[in-house]
Amino acid sequence: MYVQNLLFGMHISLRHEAHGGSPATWSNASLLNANGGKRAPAKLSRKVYEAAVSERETMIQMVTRIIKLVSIPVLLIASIFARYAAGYEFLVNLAICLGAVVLVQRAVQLKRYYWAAGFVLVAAVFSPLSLVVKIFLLMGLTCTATFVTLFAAFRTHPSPADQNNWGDSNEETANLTSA
Amino acid sequence: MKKPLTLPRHSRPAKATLILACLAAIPVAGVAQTFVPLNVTDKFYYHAKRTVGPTAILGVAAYAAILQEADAPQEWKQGGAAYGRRVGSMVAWAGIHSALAFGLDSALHQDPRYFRSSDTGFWRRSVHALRGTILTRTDSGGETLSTWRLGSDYGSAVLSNLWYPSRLNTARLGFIQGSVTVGLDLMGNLGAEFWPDIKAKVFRRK
Repeated sequence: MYVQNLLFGMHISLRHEAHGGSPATWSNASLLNANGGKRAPAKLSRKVYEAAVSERETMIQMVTRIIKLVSIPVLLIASIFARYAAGYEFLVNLAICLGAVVLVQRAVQLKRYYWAAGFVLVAAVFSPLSLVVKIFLLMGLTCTATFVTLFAAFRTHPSPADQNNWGDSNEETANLTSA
Repeated sequence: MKKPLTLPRHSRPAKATLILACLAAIPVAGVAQTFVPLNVTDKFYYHAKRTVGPTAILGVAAYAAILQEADAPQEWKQGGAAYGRRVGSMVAWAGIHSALAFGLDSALHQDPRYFRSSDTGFWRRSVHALRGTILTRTDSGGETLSTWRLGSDYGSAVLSNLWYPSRLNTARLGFIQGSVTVGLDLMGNLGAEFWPDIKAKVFRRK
């Protein structure tokens, strides 16, 4: 199961994925049964959530390291035989482009947005489009990335006091069980 | 080149090594002007020269000295062993970079050389150097996006983070390092564009 998670999505917690990854929705969802009614709440504290997130991060880092470790010798060997791919330039470009598109989708699923942006650029660079279209596409992507980065940087963030109001649903649990 | 994250104020030897590193970044082959397409063996020798040639080794040693002076990354500390580790890291990075560059330009029929501008004027020639960084010639004489350069710069930056401390082994830093490498390539092209003129004026020789 561990290996399966590792290969097919690196999802530590199915609950976490199923409820959109938000601790608030996670704890609320755990308070409802299949019919939408109230049931005995699961005891999910912030510590459990943080441990799951930390484990997930560790696993993603480990997988990234393994992929990098494997890809270095593979790329070195592939570069030796690259001359044999010289007659298939269009197919090489297309293969790299399609591979990048698949990885964009995986990166977005895993909420690795830097990786996703990188793979979007790879897909654009290796796409079988004309040079002018590629240049304008890259300029557009660069402008979009700059705007998104600036938007994220200047966005208002909740204060630490507000952030403490999630996850630890003990008070809410007590109210529900007493009702 | 990579990892100029936070450079402190340089001492005199560090400035000297910085100048050396910049000079080593100037591709010697940029002086070649007539367009005769390279075959695969020529491309292999071109990249091998840029990886294990005397100027490349000098550049790697100088850049490792800059990193040592800047104490980057801090986890590797100081001393002879740490310098050796930084040199080893740079050599490995250069190997990956060249392997990727050779693989891409030989598979995609791209020419890795820089061709000097036939125009006159500082700005026109600078724009030509920028153009030569983003675009490249194909073996058939056309022009295309420099996928060999972008792929090798960003690819080697992301892959060579592997042996750095975990805090530096991130996609964001890989992207930054790749962009710095593209910037250094631009500097190299500017050097290849203007260095013969500077040499002629300063040293009074062609």
